[in-house]
Amino acid sequence: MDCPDFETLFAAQLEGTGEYAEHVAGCPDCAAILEEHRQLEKDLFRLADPLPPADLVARVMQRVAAEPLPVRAEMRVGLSILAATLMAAVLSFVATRGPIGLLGASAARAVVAWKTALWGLNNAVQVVWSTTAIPLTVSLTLLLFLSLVGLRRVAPPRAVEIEVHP
Amino acid sequence: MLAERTPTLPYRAEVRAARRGDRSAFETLVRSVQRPVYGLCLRLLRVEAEASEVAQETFLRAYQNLHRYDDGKPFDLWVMAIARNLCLDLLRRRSRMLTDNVDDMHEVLPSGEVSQEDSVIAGEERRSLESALSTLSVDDREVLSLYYVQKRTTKEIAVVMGVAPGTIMARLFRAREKLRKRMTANSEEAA
Repeated sequence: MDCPDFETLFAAQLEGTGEYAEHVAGCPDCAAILEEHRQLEKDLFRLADPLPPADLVARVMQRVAAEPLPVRAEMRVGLSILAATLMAAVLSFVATRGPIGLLGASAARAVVAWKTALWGLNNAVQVVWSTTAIPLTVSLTLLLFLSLVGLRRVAPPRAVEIEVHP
Repeated sequence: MLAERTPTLPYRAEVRAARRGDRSAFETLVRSVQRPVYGLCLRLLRVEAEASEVAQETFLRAYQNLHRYDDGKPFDLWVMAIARNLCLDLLRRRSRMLTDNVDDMHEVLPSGEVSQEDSVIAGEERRSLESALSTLSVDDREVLSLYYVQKRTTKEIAVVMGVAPGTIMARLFRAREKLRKRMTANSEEAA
């Protein structure tokens, strides 16, 4: 009898295709090996991890106590990034060879442009306010109230956190 | 076979507290995952003292790199992956490869305390299974121990081992087939 490759046989069994069911039923060799695998799986599932040494946690925490706090480590990373950025900025100013440099000039132009735009916006708001202050306030309050009511309806109920520890 | 579980993310609060500098929160994390971490180390290294040392080093590295941990992923798998890498580094450094006396393992895997659990098989049977298991390659021991002993899903094993999840079932089958052959050979020798 031509027996299929065992890996293929197992894959078929796992997928539940029943492709080789007939073969296994008629082949005592394959049936025996399949049974051995099943028994082996059962035994393997019953094994457990050994308990760690009783002082493992204490030893770890002793070593951890000698370490800087993780917050400080994060701060160190942040400061390194800041220092690198400053260094890059200084280098770029130096590289442009001007008293302020091209980068500085473009930054100044952007500030001036934004300042003009903000002045314009401020003037527009003042004009609108001086003409329709009361209707505007009422409409905005109503809009805010309706949005809050709508959000409350849409928001799901508060979830209960369940922590699952293996 | 184990059904694939929906990934849950326990330990999140403890990780956040530990990041803020709360060492007792980190201690809680160590207590929670010490057994699977030490278990994996011992399965891979097969020497108690080394497994303990590597487990300690694993937790220290985890503490030092807490800011790099992505808390959208399971913390225990992240620590297990660190432990695995440290074990493999040590195995690579070892001059003596797989020449340890496997009898040592009979006494250390698993420890006596767990034999009281309902799920633990009879001593003699367990010893012969552990003995055969310890003669397998590191890769085979690892995949079998993660799947059967630690009851991890194939996706979780793939995360720890850094391989594609689709390859795990084939690895498991091959490892189990080798184990079956070892067990058969051992029982024939004994007879």
